[in-house]
Amino acid sequence: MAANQNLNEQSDQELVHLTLENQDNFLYIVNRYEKKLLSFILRISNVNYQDAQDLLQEIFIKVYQNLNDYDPELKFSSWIYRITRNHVISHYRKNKNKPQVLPFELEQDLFETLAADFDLGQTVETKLTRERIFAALDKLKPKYREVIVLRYFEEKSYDEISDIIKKPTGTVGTMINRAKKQFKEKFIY
Amino acid sequence: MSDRENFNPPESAGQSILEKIKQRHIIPKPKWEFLLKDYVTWVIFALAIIIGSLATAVIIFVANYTNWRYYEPELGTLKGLLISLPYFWLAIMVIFLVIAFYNLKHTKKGYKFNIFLIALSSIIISISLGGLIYAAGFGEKLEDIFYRRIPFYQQFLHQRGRLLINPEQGRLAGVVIEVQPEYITVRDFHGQLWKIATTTQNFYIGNRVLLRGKKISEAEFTETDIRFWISHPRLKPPPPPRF
Repeated sequence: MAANQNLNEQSDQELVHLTLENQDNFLYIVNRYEKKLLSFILRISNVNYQDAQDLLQEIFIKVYQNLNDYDPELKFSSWIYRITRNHVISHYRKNKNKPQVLPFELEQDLFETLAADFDLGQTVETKLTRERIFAALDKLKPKYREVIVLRYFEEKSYDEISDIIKKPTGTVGTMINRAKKQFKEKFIY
Repeated sequence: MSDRENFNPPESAGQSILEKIKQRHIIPKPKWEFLLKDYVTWVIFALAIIIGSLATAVIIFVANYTNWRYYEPELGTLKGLLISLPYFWLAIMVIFLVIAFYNLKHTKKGYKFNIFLIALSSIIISISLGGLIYAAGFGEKLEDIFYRRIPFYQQFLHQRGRLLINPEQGRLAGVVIEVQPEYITVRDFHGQLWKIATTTQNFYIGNRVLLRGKKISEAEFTETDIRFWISHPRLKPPPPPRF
């Protein structure tokens, strides 16, 4: 029990190192990220819960196979999100599914952050509903929806998003600004 | 409650993933595989830059030593320029710049760089290196080697050279294949032989030349002026080209 607690307190990098020594330690990485990644999969794809779980399994197996490719200069979470994103995109291409924003519940604090950051002002207080936010997000191009999800739902920094989608940080900033602009247009009309 | 609200995976998810990994005997790929992939990307990038720079060196040489204005009065500036542009080398330069750009972009940290910065730096490196290679004399050597040893390149140049020929109007373009004290023999880019009376000693077998003069017969031409089309001032006379 004490050993488990100790491993749970290890950094991601340390867990990678320990997993390469003993594969059983991979369980700690899975436990640390399965919930986050499952929600991320559901947010950027239109798969159902069961399919998302299957994808998650495939992703973790891929992560395990590629552990030696992990560069400690990068945040492990960025690396694992990148693998997840790429796997979801591959799955989408294979299945030709149209990604869409999904009707998950928006927590109140996240809802307020979105409204404030998107500068929706009075409109938010009077008219904005969660359904309208999702409807607007649903109309965004996938590349813009993706950065919105990473920035506002996964709460990633610009640098982290840059590492996940493999674009320069400046491009990420531009994409987020365009996404916000598009979102406002979709939200209003 | 929708699927999206239920983010909690079953307790056994991690364990079942681990079991699958064990059942399928999956092991992490060795580190050298990833390192090799990265090194290969860098090596291809370096090779592409070197080849692009060599092409740039030839382009600089051709731009400096092609007599594209010789027939300007008859053909006009644009046509003279279009016939003489080093398309082959420009294509090689562009192709390898694209390869260099693609590979740099696909190195581990390539995504961090701005696309325009990568493109611009690839171009600047190629031009700088190409300038040095040209200054060292390798531009003309490479052009000469290609002309003598690569039939495709030779044919490509000859095809364009044919556009310059019009003996009836006093224009000939071809390759010197014989040099005698009183005359030279030129095989024009259509393959026809011309005996040209001249006492000039400046030409060697293999030189690509442009002539202005008068057609005397189907095989004779008097020159009033003869110039190099593309000259290799620093090279020794090459052996005759193979037709």
